[in-house]
Amino acid sequence: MIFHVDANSFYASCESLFRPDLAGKPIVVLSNNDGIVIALNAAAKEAGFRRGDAWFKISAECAQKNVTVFSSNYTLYADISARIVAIYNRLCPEVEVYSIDESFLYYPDWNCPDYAGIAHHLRNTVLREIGIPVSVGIAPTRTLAKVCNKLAKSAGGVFSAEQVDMDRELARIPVGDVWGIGWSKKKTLERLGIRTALDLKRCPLHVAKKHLTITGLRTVQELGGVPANERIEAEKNRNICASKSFAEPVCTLAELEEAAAAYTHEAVRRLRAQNSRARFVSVFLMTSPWDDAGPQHCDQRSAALAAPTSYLPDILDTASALLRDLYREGHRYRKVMVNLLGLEDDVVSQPDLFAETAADEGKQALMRCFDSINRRYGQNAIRTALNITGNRSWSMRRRFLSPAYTTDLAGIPDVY
Amino acid sequence: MYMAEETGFPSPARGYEAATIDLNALLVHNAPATFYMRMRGSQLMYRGIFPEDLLVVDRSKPPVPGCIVVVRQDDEFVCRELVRDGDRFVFSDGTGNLSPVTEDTELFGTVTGVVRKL
Repeated sequence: MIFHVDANSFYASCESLFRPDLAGKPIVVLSNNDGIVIALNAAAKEAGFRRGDAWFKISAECAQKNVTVFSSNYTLYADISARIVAIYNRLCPEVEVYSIDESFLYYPDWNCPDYAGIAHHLRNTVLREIGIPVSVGIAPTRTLAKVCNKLAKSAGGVFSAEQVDMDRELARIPVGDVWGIGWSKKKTLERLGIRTALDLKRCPLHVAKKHLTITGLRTVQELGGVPANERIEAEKNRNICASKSFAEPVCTLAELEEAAAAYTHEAVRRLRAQNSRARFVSVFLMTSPWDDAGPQHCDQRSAALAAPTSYLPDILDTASALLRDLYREGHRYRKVMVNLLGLEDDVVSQPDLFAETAADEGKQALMRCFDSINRRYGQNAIRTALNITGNRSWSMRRRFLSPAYTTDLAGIPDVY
Repeated sequence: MYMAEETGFPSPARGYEAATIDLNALLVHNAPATFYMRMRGSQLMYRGIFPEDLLVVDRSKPPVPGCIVVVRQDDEFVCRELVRDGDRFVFSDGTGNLSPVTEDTELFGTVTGVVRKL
């Protein structure tokens, strides 16, 4: 049986976790560079705000309605997410992390098990131990589990396909809300008279294959309770890491950045070679424990990319920003490591509502060109000019950034 | 495990090597549920907790009478001793002031350790 577990308004929940003064009050979280609203809690939704609202348009209204505004604090979100996944792993034999706030949990098909009971236990454990509310959809396929999760949001947090007449539920769900049915597929289906998830389930397989390709065919099978969506193949690397110890200790930020950039190049090359995209980047920096000549420092930071990507400049920007964050003057560093995490296939992916498709295609074309030049003329025949991209992400606007409550001693919450 | 290459007599310490002492092993029992907080108040000095102490807070540990808990009170987190008073639970601040645990009391976690740098 498959559980789809999704943290409710995840970024907003994280922001309110260490702000007792904000309980029940409206919260919105802005995208990178404080551009648009990417997350908001129930109170903010009630106040009339929506995902995607441009910050410059709503800033006055937020002040007037006493809405607390946050810049994206990916350090915090990544840490809370890792804690939640640790609990999933404790309670379920097989966990697939799908995104920063969504996971699939695979339970064996036991005889007469109480899956809903297990789901409530899971939900209560995450709420008690981490403080984040999650909802659980239970079904025999991933697509149905995602549908159930949506229904769970208004059904006490847990919804099992087994306990209801699923066809009646599917009849009420617009076809565009089904996982994997994007804007263009939705248009195609509506022309065929397929408007609800139930219509799609009843769509003959050959029709689905003709109009929606093989992925659409799988969606139809999954709605019928037949597991068809391949999981991310296990043989692929789930994370990629590149690192080397330096021959001589390195003290300056510029030299470290150059090294980190080289490892990022290497990691992205391997990422692209296996046709994956990364969701998170982490950077690890350390002095030599056998070096008596200076103070010791060993630390790591991680951050989520704005969207899953294999685009070198984006990953490089994030890695450089993390490194600058980690770096302390006056240390003799011996090792830097760049790690790409949360890998997924470049083809089957969750479409991001805010991804700019045209710009994305440009990036893809650029990287394909980049790859083929390096294949032809040797690795590093062409690379990024580090100093040009150098300071871009650092100057990112994050005017409403909350402290790193859980990962930085200077940011931990106060108690009285 | 290899030690440095030995040419003379074998080290008498062989087989007795141990990792360094890890304070996390002592203080953290359930890492995902453990958070750190900074004590700013002086109410718990009678229990040996001083202002500026670092509190290790475990959200998974159920509170029992006599333990120190972090709760949300009005607009802030407060740290108090949980005590039994007859057949009800109350918070004590060591001066004899007791405040009741109500339905609105929201527990953040149980303090399982205090770290202080001297």
